[in-house]
Amino acid sequence: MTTANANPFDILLVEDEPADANLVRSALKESKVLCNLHLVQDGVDALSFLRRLGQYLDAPQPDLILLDLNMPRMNGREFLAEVKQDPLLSGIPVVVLTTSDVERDVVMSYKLGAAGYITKPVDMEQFIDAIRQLDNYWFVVARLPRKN
Amino acid sequence: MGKTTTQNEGSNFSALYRATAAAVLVWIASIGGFLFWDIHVAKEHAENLARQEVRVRFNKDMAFRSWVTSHGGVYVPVDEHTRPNPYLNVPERDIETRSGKKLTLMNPAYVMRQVMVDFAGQYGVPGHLTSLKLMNPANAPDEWERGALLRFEQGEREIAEFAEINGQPYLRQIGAFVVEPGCLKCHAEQGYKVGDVRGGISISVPMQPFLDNVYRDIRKLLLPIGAIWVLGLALILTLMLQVRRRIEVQQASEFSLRKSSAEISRANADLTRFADVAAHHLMEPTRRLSSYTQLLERGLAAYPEVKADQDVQEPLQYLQRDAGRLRTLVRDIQLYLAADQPRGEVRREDANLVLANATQRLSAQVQQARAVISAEPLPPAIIDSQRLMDLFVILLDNAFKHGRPLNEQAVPQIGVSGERDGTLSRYRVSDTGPGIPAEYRERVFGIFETLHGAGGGSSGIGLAIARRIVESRHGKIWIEDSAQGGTMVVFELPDGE
Repeated sequence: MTTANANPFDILLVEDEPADANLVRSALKESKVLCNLHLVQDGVDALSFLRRLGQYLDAPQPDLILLDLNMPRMNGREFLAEVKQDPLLSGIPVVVLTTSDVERDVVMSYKLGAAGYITKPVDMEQFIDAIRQLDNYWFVVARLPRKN
Repeated sequence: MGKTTTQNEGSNFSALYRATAAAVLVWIASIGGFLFWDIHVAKEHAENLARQEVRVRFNKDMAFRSWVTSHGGVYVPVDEHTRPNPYLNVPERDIETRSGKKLTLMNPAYVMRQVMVDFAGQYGVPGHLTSLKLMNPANAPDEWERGALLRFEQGEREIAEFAEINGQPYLRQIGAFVVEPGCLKCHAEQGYKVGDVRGGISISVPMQPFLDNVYRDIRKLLLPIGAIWVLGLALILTLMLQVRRRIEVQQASEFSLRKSSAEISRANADLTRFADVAAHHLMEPTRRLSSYTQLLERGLAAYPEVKADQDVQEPLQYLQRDAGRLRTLVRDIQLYLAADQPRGEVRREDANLVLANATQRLSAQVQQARAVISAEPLPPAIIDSQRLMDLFVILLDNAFKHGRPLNEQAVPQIGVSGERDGTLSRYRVSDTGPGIPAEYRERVFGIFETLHGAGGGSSGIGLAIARRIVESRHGKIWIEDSAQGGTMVVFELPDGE
């Protein structure tokens, strides 16, 4: 699941649908964003990843979390709330992936501390654009101090 | 809800019971009042009769007595029954006629007493002569008479009162005897002067016969009045029972109506929810279908000879087209389902501002259609601005697409106007296109109805959404002929909920 690369940026994608995960990977590839993409299936796994529990003992701390809102076990909202309550994790920017521009979801995400949101692709061009902007913003403009 | 209904029934009936109790009370009071009044009138009538009788007798007594007094007494033959009056000390009390017949002078009191005693049967109610200064002790006043005589000394001359004698009711009248010259013949020695009150003549009429009459009349009245009273009560109670039955029936039908209307709206809500969930779940694979079709096309860029192959290109095109169409359909269904819910606060919105925003949002289409929009001042509407915007966007978009003039050279003219009408605001969006035949004007408001076949980028749900928005505000939307020969869509938004 890891695209090894010289670029040190790590992105954690929390997404249960492989087809959508694949779309994100394709968009990242197309937009020439150089990063390591880590994929987990749901919120519970994502927390294990972040806290380096179980199989994720050697997991890096991601620079960005891309979060799907609708997942089994722990859904996106619960995960987001949990991350923002944890002082060790709350500094990691979380960008929400939504299926629609349902205002309710967007407002809720921002309330819970999401750094931004991307509407899931209906049009690949748009999605690649969005990912590229993400790249510009989070990896260049709002570059965070790197923790080791 | 069941609970509320029970409470309603309780309060409805208690109001009915209160009204019934009030009616019964009023009925009892009016019948009672009538009886009371009738007894009062009958008694008064009886008393007047008694007063009249007592006055007649009193006057007769007085006349008779005055006649005796005016003669200074009368001489009558002495016999066993009529002895000289031992209390009368006047000269020539006893005289003899030349033929030797003995006569004695009867003073008025004596005459009266004898008449009353001897002819009591015909005389009827006995009178009574009395005085505080008696000559004959037999004439002593009783308690009531004594009181009256004392009041004569205060200046009263005649007293009539209802009083009891031996526990029986009587109307008693007593008149003063004022000393006249004729009186002094006998009473001068008692120290009387002319004008002094000598004593009184009293008459007592027993009231019992009069009262018996009254009571008999009332007893006769009791039966019919009682019957009327019972009838009235029965009528009131019957009426109450009927009203109660009617209320029960009405409540039962209201309850079942509420129940079925609640069931209908629940079923409707269930169906909407089902459609909503279904559309939501359909959207996911639809979206991916679209995305992956595009991804596939991009991937094929690496194999130009494959991509150029007709057998690849055509399926790919149809795949893309239908993925897009499917996405539009599902999105339109979602928009349609959501159209009856406000998005944002429902308030008084400036329609001019909302129209300006809608026009701006459609600026690309305006340019593409080379259309001229002329808007007149619009009245405000009570709705959320988002959906008012949707309404204008849908109707303007429709006008761009379907309102193109037949003459390709002519500039499409789109007019927006509106006015207030009572408590609603009316808006019109008209175009200069070919218009819509009357028989299709209702059909175009159906879901996925379009008169121009598939394509053109519209699923044909715009007017259905517009209608759902307007009807959720209890308004109306319809199509008329435009003055310029095109289509005119009219919609009305009432102020109330």
